[in-house]
Amino acid sequence: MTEGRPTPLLPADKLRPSRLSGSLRRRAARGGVDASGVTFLAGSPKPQIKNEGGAMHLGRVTVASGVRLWAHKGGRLAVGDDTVLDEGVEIISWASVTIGRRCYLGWDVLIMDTDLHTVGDAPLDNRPVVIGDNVRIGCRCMVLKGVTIGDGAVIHPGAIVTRDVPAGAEVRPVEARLLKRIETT
Amino acid sequence: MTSIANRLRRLLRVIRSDARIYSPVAYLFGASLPGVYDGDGPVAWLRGWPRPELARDEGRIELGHVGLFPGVKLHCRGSGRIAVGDGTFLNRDVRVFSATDVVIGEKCMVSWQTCISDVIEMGEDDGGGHEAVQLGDHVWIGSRVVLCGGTRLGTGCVVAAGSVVRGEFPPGSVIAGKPAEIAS
Repeated sequence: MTEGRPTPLLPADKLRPSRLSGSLRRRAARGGVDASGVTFLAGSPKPQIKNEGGAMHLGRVTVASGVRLWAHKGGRLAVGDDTVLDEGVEIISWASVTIGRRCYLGWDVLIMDTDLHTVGDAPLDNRPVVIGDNVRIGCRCMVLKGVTIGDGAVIHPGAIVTRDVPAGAEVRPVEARLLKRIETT
Repeated sequence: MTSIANRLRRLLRVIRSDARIYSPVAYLFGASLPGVYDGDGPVAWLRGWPRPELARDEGRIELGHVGLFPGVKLHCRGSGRIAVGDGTFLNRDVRVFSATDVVIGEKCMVSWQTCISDVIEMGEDDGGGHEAVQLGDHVWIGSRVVLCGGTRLGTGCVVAAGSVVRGEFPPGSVIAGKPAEIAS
């Protein structure tokens, strides 16, 4: 793992800022989010930054297409400098989600600090998510409430993280295995 | 880039070869895709948005008579190569990324929202962290599958929906991930 800056998984042709960056920034500003350091990459659908009475702190983040950031009332969402949110990343914050610097979040990663719904009459159990620096999260991972991921950890594609991950650890999902062989003609 | 004459010649070939599953009309729509690919070109079903997206830097995208559905993205970085054989379908929202070599065989079926990339070290800059992916002919991939870098599937493999696939599998294997269990 080099210490270089992470790059989104796009061809160099597509690594250009969106022509609508200005309007996306203004739209974010209307929700009370300072997105002046954010690089919005070209592509559709456009990223959505939705702030419903929470607080959002975005550093020099690279945001690819299809990203959705949602801070609910009382939720706090912070993303550090040089972090890359790749295509289709969704971050949902009802309590607090903190992401460090130089992280890479792959395609379709989902980070939630809430269950959004309850079973029966129990109150909502929102617990903050903290992700350290230099963390790489692979495609289609899910990070659920109350998880702390240490610096430099690597979460391999497809993992569903429900427990804390120490710094520098590697997390692998249950990978597909051979069930049986069939005759091929 | 291919000339219009070439496209017409290919269209004639599609019509003459009693192309079982493709219609010439769909082929004409496919020909309206950005001409960044080599080969016979997609026989695309372009009803719906977003349009399939093809992008290559200095790399190559080689398409046979392929069905590309809306939302498909084929992306090459650097001198990467994506090759898709005749008769393969890439269904909605399939994403293929290649910085080295991604080869999909003939008559494969790739279902919705499958991610195929040759990445083994996420978030890397160019140069390293990638390993070629190879799918044989007649491979059937379920929806929402993630194919990681270095995967090789033999002819006629079947991959269950939602699995994360890594490594090498012999021809005719049925591969599945971990299905949900009753927790309590």
